[in-house]
Amino acid sequence: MLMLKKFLRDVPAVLGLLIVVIAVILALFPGLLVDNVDRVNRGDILQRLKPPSPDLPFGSDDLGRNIFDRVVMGTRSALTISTLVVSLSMIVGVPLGLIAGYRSGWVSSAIMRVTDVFLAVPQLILAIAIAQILGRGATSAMIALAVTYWPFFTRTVYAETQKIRASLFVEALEGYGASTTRIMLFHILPNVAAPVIVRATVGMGFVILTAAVLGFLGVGAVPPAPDWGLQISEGRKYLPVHWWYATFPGLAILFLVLGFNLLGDGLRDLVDPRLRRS
Amino acid sequence: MSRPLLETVDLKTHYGGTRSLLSKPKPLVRAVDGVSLKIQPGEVLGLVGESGCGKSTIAKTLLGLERETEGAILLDGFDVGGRDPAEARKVRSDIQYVHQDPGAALDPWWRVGDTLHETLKIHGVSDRAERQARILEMLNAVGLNEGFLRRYPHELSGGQQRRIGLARTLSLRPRMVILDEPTSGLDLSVQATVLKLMLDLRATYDLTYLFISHDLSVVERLCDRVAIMYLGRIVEIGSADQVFSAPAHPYTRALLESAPTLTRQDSGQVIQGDPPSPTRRPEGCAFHPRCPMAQADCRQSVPQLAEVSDSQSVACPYAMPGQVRPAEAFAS
Amino acid sequence: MSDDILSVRDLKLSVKGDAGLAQILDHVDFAVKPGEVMGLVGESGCGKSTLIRTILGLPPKGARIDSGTVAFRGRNLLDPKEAQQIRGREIGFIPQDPFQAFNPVFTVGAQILEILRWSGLPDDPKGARYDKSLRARHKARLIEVLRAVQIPDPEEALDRYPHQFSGGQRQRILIAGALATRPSLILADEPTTALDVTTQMQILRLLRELAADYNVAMLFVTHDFGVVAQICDRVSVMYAGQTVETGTTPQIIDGPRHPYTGMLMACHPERSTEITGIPGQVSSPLTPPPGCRFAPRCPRATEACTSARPGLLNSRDGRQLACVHEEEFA
Repeated sequence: MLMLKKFLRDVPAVLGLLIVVIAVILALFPGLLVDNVDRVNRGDILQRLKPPSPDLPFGSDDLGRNIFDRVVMGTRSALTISTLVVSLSMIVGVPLGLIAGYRSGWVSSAIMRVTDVFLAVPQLILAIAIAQILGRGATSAMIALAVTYWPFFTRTVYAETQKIRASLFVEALEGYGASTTRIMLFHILPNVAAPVIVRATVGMGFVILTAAVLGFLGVGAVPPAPDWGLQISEGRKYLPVHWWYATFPGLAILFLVLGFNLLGDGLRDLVDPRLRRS
Repeated sequence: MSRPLLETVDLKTHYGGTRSLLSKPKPLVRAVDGVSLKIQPGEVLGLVGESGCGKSTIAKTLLGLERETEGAILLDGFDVGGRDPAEARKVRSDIQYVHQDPGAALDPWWRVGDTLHETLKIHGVSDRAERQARILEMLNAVGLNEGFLRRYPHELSGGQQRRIGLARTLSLRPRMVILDEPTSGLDLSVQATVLKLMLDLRATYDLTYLFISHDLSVVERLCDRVAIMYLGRIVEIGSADQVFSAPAHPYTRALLESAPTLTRQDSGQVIQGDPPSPTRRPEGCAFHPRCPMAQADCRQSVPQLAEVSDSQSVACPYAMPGQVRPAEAFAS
Repeated sequence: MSDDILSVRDLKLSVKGDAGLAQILDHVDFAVKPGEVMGLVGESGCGKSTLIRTILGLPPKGARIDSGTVAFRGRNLLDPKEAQQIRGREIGFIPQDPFQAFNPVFTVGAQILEILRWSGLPDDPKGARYDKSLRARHKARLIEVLRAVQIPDPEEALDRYPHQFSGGQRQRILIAGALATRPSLILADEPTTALDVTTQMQILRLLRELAADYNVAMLFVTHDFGVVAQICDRVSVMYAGQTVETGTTPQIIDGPRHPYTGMLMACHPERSTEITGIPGQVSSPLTPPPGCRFAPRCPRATEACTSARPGLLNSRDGRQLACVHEEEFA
């Protein structure tokens, strides 16, 4: 209860939470704002490139599709990709970090060196390369992002695990003869949960951004999917006259990423006030 | 004398000193360097020394958390030494440990009750009802009620944390308990009740204690025998009466003189210098650089423990047994 | 009494936290005279650390002074600006843990000179810029005090890093740092609890000599009456935020009159062959008992104890005592 009270006092964090909650609701129930969910890819060529108006709040694109509907539908794709990527990265990164942090010696060194290698590879370039190999599509973008994002979780968990490993209660458990698995699963994992959640929240924003870049570069989602990056890429050709085409998907990315980052920072402060960044 | 419950023969635990391909060479630390102890069933043996003297390493080695470099550990006459931590803990489950800071020894995310259950689970007590019964018995024995099971560690006071720590360890029904600085950080008024409790529990459950402390006044009140450690070796061991009333080793005397009493100690030589680090252990008798009566041969040969009376052994050839305790000499 | 170096009068302080208003200090009252070593004794939870921070002019976050004064030579320490002028210059501070007091990546000399740079020394020329010559003067003064605290090779010691010193030596260096500005009062917060027994006695004797040599008064916070006996001229005993008894060291140690002081002394191993404690627990500052806060644990408690807080009375042997049952003694 105390935590909740403290969180509610943090205005930016609450704002972030609000944005994220709205985005999640829209992703689950786009029907709340979109008249015909199945028809978002179909346009009316006569309504091509119309500026924003009460009928078309965000205007229409080059194929006469309702940009507002497509931005709302893009929320689902953005959140699906980021959730899957972050979960996949966690599934790989968290156990590796736990093992590397708990064990010492060559196992730990080996894991952390591999992590360093992945961290040293420019993410975007690796993602593009993987997407090229696997072929264009949302799935390859997701795999590419997961492959580049797990080392961050490994790093976070590794550092936390090392800290907790040195604490007295772990030493005491060893003294009572608890097995390594028990200590790692039941004692260290819950204690690293908080920083991992913070990392995941910030990661959601990061992945949405990177996925948009991949879509923009043409290695992510395939047309006519309502993907924000893809939309910006298509709308770019019509700038600056038909400004609304690229602007509204861009703003959608901006707000959702901002929302996740504000929420992540708020959670971070909650978990550890000393980490408050200026 | 009956067969000792626990015996160590020339126990050595060294760290570092090895070179490996990937890491920097670490200096050799001879944390425990040739300790031979016999602990009789039912007795309380005090192990006294300043920080860095190796008393915690002895505890870890006896528990099996550290593997000894050399020497033997005998439990009930059986050799239980030379094993990896996991196996050593199984073989030596008769020896349990109460942590120096039992509050920090509890997982902050777990309720006390869950931690107590878990400790028993680790030791293979799978029946929940039996675990609960044992836990309640122990809680009762340490003077706490069932309500504490639902509390989180930070909701306990220092004294309550110690009690939980004792209950946790004793629920495993050990025969010997290693108590690591069990009163450090406790106020004097709370300390007393905890010490009393430990003596009561020993009588009830027929326990043997290895009592590690740097607080001489506590050791004097609680222990039957006491061993004084300096830089990995025992310099004096004997019955508590004997050691406290007639300390023979110059280091023991320095320790006793340094403990602040309720009268101002104006006279008397305060021992100079700090205990040297175990990585830079002086040659010969490790105490010679600070010793007021060091002779030339103290720098060369390591003195061995030798009996000076039937209940006292000292590792100093120039020891003066039977001398009156300096503080008392001053007080009279 | 205007000749007091430090006087804490009737200080009442509460801290607003997440759990509510904690009444940490409740009428703390004592004074330190020039050149004397005053002991401040109390068990955990008695408000010692809050009191020290308040004297240094750094009360904890959310603290509110409900009443009372804290004055250093008549200057108000509860005024943050005034306190900042005094702290580190005229009041030196020795922290509890010499292992955490230093930043490991700088030499000890650099760290203490940096502090001296901001606090300045009393004999610094007025309005002088901090230049090489001033730094050299500071360094010379530091070497002088390092010699006084018996650090071998002080010139060379300045260029060494904290980890190259033992705990006892680090505590000596911190004492030197506190002495460098020629303070008239030093606040020592359990300066020997983190040290080994043999080192503790060395430091206690050193502090006693320095207090006499430099004619500096000391407020020495501790929980150990053995330490009090070694160094303090007078002692003030606190319980749960209240001053219960103040007197000379022999008065308190050999003839305590407040029931709490008496019971605390009885716990001391030298005073009893039997292991004795004080039953019960310190009350929470969130819900302090009315009147005397020791009443719930006191064997002599009567109705009078819970109806009103006993005032601090001057007894005929010169001590101050807050117990209704000792009024006839006063």
